[in-house]
Amino acid sequence: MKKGITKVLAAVMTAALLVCGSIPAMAAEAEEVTISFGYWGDSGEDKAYADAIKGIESVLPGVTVELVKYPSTNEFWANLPGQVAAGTAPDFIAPTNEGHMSYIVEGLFLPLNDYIDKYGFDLSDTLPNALEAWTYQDQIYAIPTTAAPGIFVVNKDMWDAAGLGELPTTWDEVYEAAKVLTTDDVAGICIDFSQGYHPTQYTNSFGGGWSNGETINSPENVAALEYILKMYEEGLAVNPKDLGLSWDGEVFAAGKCAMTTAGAWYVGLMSESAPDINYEVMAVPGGNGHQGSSMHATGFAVLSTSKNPEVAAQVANYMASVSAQMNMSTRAGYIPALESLQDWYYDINPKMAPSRASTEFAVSFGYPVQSTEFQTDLVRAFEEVYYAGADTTAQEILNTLAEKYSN
Amino acid sequence: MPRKKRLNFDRESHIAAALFLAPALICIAIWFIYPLVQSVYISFFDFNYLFKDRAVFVGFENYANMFLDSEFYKGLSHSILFMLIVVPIQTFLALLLATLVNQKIKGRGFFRAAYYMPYVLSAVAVATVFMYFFVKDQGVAKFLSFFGFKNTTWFADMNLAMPFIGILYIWQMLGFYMIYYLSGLQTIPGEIYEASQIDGANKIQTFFFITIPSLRHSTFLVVTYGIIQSFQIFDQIAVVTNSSGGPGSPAGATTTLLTYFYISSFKLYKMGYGSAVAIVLFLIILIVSIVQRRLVKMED
Amino acid sequence: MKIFKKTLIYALMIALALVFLVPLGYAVITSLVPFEYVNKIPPLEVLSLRNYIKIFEQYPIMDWFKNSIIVAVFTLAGNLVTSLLAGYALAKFKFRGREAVFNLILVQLMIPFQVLLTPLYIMVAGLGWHSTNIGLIVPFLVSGLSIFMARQFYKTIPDELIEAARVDGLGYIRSFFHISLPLSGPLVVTLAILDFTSCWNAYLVPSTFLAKNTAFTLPVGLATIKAANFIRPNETMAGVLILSLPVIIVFLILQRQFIEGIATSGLKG
Repeated sequence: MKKGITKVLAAVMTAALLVCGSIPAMAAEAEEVTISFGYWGDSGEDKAYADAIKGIESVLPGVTVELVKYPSTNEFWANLPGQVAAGTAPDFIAPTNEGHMSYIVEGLFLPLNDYIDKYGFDLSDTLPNALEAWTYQDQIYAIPTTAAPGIFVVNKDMWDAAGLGELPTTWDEVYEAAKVLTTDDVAGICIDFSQGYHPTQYTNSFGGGWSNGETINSPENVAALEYILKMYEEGLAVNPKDLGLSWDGEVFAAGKCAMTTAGAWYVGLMSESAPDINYEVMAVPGGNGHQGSSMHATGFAVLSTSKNPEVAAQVANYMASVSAQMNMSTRAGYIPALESLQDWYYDINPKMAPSRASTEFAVSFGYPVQSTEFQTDLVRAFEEVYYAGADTTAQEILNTLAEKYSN
Repeated sequence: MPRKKRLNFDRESHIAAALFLAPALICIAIWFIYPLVQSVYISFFDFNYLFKDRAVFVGFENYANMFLDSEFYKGLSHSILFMLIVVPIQTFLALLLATLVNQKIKGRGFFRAAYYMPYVLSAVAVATVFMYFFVKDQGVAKFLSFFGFKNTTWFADMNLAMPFIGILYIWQMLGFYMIYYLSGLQTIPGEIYEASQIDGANKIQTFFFITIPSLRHSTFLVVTYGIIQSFQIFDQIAVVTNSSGGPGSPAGATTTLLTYFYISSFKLYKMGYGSAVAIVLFLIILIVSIVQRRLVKMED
Repeated sequence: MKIFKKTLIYALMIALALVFLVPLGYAVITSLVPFEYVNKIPPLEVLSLRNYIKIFEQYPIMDWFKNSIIVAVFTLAGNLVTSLLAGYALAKFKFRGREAVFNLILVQLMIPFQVLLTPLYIMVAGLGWHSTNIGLIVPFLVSGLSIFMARQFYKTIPDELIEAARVDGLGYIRSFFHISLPLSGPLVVTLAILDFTSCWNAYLVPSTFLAKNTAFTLPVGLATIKAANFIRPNETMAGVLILSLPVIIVFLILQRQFIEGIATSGLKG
């Protein structure tokens, strides 16, 4: 009861302050609106988002932003349907472009073009491929805030100890190197096949890609998957699961593999968990004379269930500002999605600099619309071969998937 | 007179039962039956809570489809095998531990706490340690390889992944059943033991002829609940396979009916289908429980 | 011979205890080292309480703690009342529909709880109870398992004892409060230990019902302790220990109530 009174008092006082504070001009149209922003993350992100909403009342009078924190990605997506049904879903959220397509196609994420035009959101500085990752049929479905291309890391100590010379630039060179680098304790390469992320680095760099389900069994993708299966067959590759570890970064930091496809998060991970390991970051090697990797882009997406989508979009735009993206980058290690911040990011993260070119050619994951199911099936098909000993070929695996997921 | 009194008692006992059961039953009606009815209802639809208005009535199609999916049968066979192996072992071990820590010995509190510990610690902590020891060439995996087991990473092996889950599960649940048995042991009157000692029975005879029969009410719960729970194993599988292929990994070796349900409902958003799976799972548990009660009459 | 046997049993029990305590030991050591020493044998000088301090500094852990205490205490209290009454009725009262009610309790245990999660959430949110402690308490004031345990316990109390009370002129209800309730010590202790543990450690429901940093319970909040894109096992394990310590303390206090042969005097009296 006491709490209730306090709350009412606080609300009255805030309202009074707001009204008094914004008397000139805007006061007339100022309407009390609370916009909820749903996210999940660590304490760095808590603080970055708390900073990002500061000062919003001067730009959007009468608008209060409520930070709604979910325990984790899994919990958020597992319970989102319940929240939508109960009317408790947040107004906008910060998803990545890995499972977004089904929500876009089924209409859960709102197209933002009208608001972008109406309020003149300036997205001209946003990296084109980050924006592309959130564009579907000429409509933009989120304001990108991070843009991390897939990268490749090499344990330089192991590399030099094996006398291998220049770092690899093609998958053929990686294969030859892996043969030298593999020992009883160390795998030449870690290929984390627990989700779609890493296989997609291979398909994209072989010149293929999933193209939202259109090209699942393209020759380039088949070549990429054949390469992965060959690495496993010849005992040159390790899946984190084989070592009781949950992802590639742990394998690399434990010194159990000499190379792996990776992401920007390796910088933080390695400096904290394996400061002694001397490693190099580079662009994902090329295959078949191509080069490619994925663009991992978080964005602010407005849910179609929002009662104030227009205001939510404006809040999202406010929270994607230059200073907010810089703040997020410093606090949680993300790469900003703004062109103008790239120099800044690579200056303060010199370790990442050699991979910078990836930003040019990285493209979105391009999973089919049923992206979760597709990734589950892809992982399962791999496990059937590697763990259960099925003699399915790469071509057969991708043919089956193509049949199920081509539109 | 006696007849009338009996009638009175009957009415009285009905009133007493109604009063005693009312709080529980009201809560169950609101918080169990109501949501359950909803879940049963959506099992006849192609249903997703995200888009409730797009639900399509499909009759028994969800149920029929299940029986066409080989993954369902895989889950079913894993669930049943798991139950058959886990329940007897955990019942026996729990009784053994409870008996050990019920003795008058020094440091009894410490031993009880120690044996209860895995149940207290979160599944994450326990699984992390377990996984560490069951990796190829590590502690337990290496040790067991001298006894004819494959020296391999257990949870990444088609044949050993489920046994690994079983060991982890028993380990974690033992504390729970031990405590329950311990409370059962408290209700055995001391005179019975004294009498049997006078009759010249040794400790093992006493255990089999006095303790076990006296614990039949406890055992009924340990076995009944043990069966129900073993069908619903999920946490351990989720932790072990989390971010390494998901429940069921590798290649369906750890698929159970519940992981199958979970993936359908919460990952793929096929909630109508998921509900149908859950209801079939319930029916299977129900049948197994009925069979168990018919086969072994544990209670009078 | 007797000493030999006793030593053997002791040795067995100590060996078992060590095996059971391995995960705890692992958690303790990991929680004291910097990230780079995880899964390595750490030199003594790197051990510190830094991970704990960091958790307390960076997260609203006292809020989480408070929420957990409130939820666990009220849920446990509610459970004790409902399950003692219902369990006793199912064990000792003769009434029509007794089997049906007992079967309903069993059915409640047999339904995989996850299938009720979303409908439950919608109900709770409809009452405005999402992200509150009430939403975690009210729907869980009754537990089928607790009722089942209570029923099994009361079944062990001899009918003659209750009959005798009735001869003395006590009705059904009063005989429960005068005869059976005073004998319920081991049951109450068991329920207190088991219900408290499971409520304290509960993750699925709170992680579904709560979406606010300060509304989290301990297990949910502690699960959010990680870096943006990876987990720091040392901080995770510190979290595990922060979470487990209260349960261990509650257990150590309550387990003293389990004394060999307590029932003897109780039944006689």
